[in-house]
Amino acid sequence: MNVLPLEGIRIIDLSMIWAGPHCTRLLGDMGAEVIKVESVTRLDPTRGPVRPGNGRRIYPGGDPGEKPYNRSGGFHQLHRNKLGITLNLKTEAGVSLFKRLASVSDVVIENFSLGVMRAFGLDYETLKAERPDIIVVSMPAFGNTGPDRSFVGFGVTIEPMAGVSHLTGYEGAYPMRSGGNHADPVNGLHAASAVLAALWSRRSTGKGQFIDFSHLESMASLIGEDMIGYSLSGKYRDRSGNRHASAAPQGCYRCDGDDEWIAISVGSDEEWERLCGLMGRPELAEGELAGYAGRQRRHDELDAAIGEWTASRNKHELMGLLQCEGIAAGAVQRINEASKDPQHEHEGYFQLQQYPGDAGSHLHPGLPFTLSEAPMGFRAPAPDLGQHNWRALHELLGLPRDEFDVLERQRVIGRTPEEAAGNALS
Amino acid sequence: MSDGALDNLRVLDVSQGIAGPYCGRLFAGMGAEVIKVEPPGVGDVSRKAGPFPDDGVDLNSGGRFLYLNAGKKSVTLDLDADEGRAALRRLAARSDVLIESFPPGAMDGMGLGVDALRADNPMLVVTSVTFFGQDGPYSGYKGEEIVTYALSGAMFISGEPDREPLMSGVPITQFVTGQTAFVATMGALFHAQATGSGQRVEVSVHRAMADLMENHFVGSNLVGRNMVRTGNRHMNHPWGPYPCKDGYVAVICGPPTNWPAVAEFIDPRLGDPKFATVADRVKPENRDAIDAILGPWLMERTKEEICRLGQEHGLAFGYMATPEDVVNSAQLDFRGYFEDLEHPTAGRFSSPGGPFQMLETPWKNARAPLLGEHNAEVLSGLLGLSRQDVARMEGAETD
Repeated sequence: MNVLPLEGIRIIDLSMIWAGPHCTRLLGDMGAEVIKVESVTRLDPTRGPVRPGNGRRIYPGGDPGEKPYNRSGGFHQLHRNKLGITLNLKTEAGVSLFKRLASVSDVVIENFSLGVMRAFGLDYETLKAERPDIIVVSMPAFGNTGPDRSFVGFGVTIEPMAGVSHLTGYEGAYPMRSGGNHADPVNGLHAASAVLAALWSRRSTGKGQFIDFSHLESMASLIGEDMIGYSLSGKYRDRSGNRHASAAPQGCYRCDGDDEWIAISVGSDEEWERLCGLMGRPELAEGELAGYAGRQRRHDELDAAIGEWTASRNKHELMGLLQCEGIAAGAVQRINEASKDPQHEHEGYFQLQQYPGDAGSHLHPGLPFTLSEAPMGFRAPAPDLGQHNWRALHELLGLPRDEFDVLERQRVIGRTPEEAAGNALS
Repeated sequence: MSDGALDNLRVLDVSQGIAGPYCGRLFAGMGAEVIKVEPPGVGDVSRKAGPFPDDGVDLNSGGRFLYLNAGKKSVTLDLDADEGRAALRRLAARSDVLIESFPPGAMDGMGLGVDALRADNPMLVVTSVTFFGQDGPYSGYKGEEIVTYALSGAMFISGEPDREPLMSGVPITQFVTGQTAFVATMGALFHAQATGSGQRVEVSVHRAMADLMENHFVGSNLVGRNMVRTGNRHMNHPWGPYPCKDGYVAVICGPPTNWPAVAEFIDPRLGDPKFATVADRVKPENRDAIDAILGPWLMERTKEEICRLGQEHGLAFGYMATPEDVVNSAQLDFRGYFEDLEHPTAGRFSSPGGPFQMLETPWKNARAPLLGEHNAEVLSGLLGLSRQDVARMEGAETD
């Protein structure tokens, strides 16, 4: 029988959008029971608007259906293998049920702005009183303390503030954002790391704890060497485009077709000699160009020679050719090419996920790692809004039928959103 | 002094570069005993990476090595020699986790494959980090940061539309691989506790980076959406970097419900109803009109000033912090993120802390080891080799 690594762990997840949900997606994929808590007045924005216009949302077949908030692709990616309930935490009944849920849970995670949990009456001390060994992860953008603790931030705020954008950009030009917006999933991975470490610690100490998660600190972890380097020398590096500090040439070169490119990185003198052979330009590996320093000095010239050679070639064929010669090369894939990448296919990275009703099954990114003895993957579709209210409140907490019905009538819980509930991002 | 969250674990870190060592850094910072095993004489390749305190290369003093290997012990073992391999195998028998980043099959070739190691220690978790996986069409490919960024789809959508695609300024594909390796390894440790059996954990840079693109893949798979490069222009506006008096700011006019504030603190013309919604603001002529109003205002002010003004009005403004700004950040200073450390060869420096703050089990900030610094402690102390044996192994290494 297959045992999942986090079986028996229950996580109450108040987080929204991407970083927090990416964290609990990983923990849920690994077998934790994740109960996502929304409310009928405040849906996770990735569910999309309650009534989408001709917007840019992603639904199976492009069709929002009657309940678009249960069909959004982004929501399904981040919330598979989770349960979902609604609980209005601006009501006394909602708060009281949340406390009861916390009392039977291992972890509570939230990414509200600072002070929201306290305003609900659900700060760490209160939750700890309900469940003495609870682990609470609080992830406001800049952490729970400090002069900027009340600052708000999205991933696009954090990437610049953590020093990443300053280092990203073409040589001699201005800083640039990443098109993929990487801060959220990076921070989600760190948050998952924190939860796992806290759970591990709790096994031997019996103690839970408060995790004060700052997106800024998490993302700044990616410029560790630059922070230390600055501290040691008082200097820091400039933006260097696609070039490498200790390998040359390295760059992104035009290939055959419209907007087609290949990334090539030459790691040694021998590799350069082989590349020059392939290009039919052996003279480029002679003299000062035989060594790294000379190639770095004349990098522009070498880029032009390589670009001339690649321009008439197919990027994928070229990748195969160069890799056969032991030269690091990768086609610059479009999203729809990367989603059909043969290595991902070989590993079964993309997996079919089932959608509700007649919306079918669709390929989604699966797990980013493989555990030889614990196969993991898609177990259950992302929850409809409030789908597991009965399971969580009645079956788990023992709330009687009549009280459940009253809460539904009062809209403390529910399975349909208020009209204005889903528009936080639009 | 509080204990670390993972202080009952011993991790053998045989990995090199960025990804595996970052995984090891997380273990060390949270209190695990992390023994880094390096090739004699040269050590981990990242020892040569810098940035160095002075211009010359010094294997013990580079910023990348100091960062990724903080708090670890260093043991040098020649894995081409029987004696070195035997010592590694004995160390693995006394460890909970082994992290390695050799090419596929190399550990097996040295008689140090998962089966051999787990024969001695069934609970051992072996975490293998590669660029492209243990098998499959790309498994023999050579990896580099720019290559995995290119293949992931992230590079095609970064940079200016009329120029070549642009890689990240930080080795992001390898960092997220280290993070992913940590999460997966912890999962395997919980699994081992439940089942009494360790296992192999496989993590590749190629797949770990793909996971960062999850939303893009969903858009492509469900509705055929294929993103293109738009430079610093976002599908929201204003929503990105702009030049200002002393650098660059991130003018993020979100949450969008707070947009009306910009008319108050920037310019009343921004209150024009034609800019009222996101859909209005992203029309090309409106983008330009907004930028024409915004630009001069930004150029008269500093990045800190602009960021603070935006934040005071509930908007997620930031700025393009330089490494210098980050090291001098009042916010990070208040939270005790940096700690001054003294290193025997690099000197004194400000060492960044962990990626999150666990209040009961604080991050342990400690310096990185000199090459082979802990040979005697580990090989004699832990494995019981005689001083003469250790000296002989070290001598053989330097011959």
